[in-house]
Amino acid sequence: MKKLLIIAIWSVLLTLGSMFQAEAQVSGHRGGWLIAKTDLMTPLFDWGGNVQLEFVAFRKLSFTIDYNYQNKDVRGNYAKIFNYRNVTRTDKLHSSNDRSMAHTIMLGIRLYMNRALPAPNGFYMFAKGGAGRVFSKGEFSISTKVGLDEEIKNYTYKYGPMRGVKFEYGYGYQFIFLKRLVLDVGAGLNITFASGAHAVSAVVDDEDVTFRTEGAALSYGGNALNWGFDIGGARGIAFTQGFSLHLSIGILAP
Amino acid sequence: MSKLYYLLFVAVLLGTGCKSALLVERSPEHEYEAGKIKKVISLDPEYVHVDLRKGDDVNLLRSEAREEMFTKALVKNADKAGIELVLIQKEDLGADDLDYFNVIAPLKQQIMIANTLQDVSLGRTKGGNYMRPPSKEFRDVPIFTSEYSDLPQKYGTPYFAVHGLMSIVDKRRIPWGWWFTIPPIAAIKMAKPNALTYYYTAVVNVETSEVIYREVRYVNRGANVDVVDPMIYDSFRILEKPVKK
Repeated sequence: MKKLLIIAIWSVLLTLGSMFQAEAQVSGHRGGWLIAKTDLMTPLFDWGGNVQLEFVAFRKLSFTIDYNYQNKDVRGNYAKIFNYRNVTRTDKLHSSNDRSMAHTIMLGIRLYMNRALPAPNGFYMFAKGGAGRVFSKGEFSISTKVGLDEEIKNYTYKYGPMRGVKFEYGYGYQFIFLKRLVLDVGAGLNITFASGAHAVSAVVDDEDVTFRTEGAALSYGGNALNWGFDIGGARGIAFTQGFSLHLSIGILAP
Repeated sequence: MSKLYYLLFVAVLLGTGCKSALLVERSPEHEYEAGKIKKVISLDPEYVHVDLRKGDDVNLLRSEAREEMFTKALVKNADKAGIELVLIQKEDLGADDLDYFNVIAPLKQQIMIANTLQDVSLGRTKGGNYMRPPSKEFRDVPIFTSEYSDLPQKYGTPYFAVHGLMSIVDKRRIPWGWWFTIPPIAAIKMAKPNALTYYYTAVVNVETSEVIYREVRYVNRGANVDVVDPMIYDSFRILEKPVKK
């Protein structure tokens, strides 16, 4: 919570700084220096939502703040890495409907490469970083052979928050058309860390079960493609790399 | 893996970014004069459209049709930047308007000659040949005749300017290798013509008979309102902003 508060305060300070800077100096797009956008790839890939603000602070430089909500299905990942201590090896795991939910705030900087048209127009390179909270929830079943019969127990779980740190860098192209409408296409490489991601002890349906939630942590990264691994042992950190695609539409403030 | 191919496609597509340039030169006096530039007389702004696909040098009909868009953009963006821009256009003239033929047209010619012949160095870059100033300040400030020094009394400002926009459309030339290696990008590129938009301006002070500011910029996009407007607005913002050394 403390970290989020610090990020929020910095965001406000950065916003105010950018506003004064923008008022004083920048050309922007015909004087417009503030853009509100939403990334259409977030609902498509992450089943969530995204809100972004971009402030043009200098002739070729702008700052961005974005909030991202992820509500992603991580089925498959979870079953593969699932582990628990009170079930024998002969038991079978069945995992389904596991989801990763994450709230992330990111601050970014964009460097526009186009000289003739000042920011926020044209080709740009960006870097952004932020922090978030990842929650994992889902259900699974364990089938155990008791004599000739098979006993199936169903479990549901909810765990979080895990702390996440995300960095992204890449490039894109921003068009402004019909005076105020903004189309922003971009691609980026993500590096993500999520700590406290696994070896979680929890009481599930009145039973003490230790399970692992790397599935949620490892899906907290790029929206299009992710691959990652644990780097911290039993209580360590999940590291993820990924690709993100961005297709944002927005509006330029007067 | 299909996602990866898609990513590569987008990455390469984005990699073919926009080319552009901005070349600005000022006189040493511009630092002191910039804040005072509140009114500028624009001498017959010109819009030139060249369509090389049709083998034309200049498409006069298209140029005439688009000139109104350009002049409107000039006035609107100057006003937005806090500068009053007064246009003197040949379309508004009558046969008895001797001032235009005796004073304004020769002044414009003088400004163009001074900017073409004085303190100009040609350089070669990867993008081709174009004027490339060695610094942002004139080495030798271009000057012209002092016979126009009485114009401020009539027009209320010593600042006169030449503005022009050139739109060039050409066939897109795609390297043959692209059709075999990245056919979708070659097809997209082929579908849209190669458009270049050049914008130039030169501002003079007729009291001192000096060019105080000149600028050329180009972008490889068509000359539509969404490209022309921000270029012109930015130009006026740079003009009125003193640059401290």
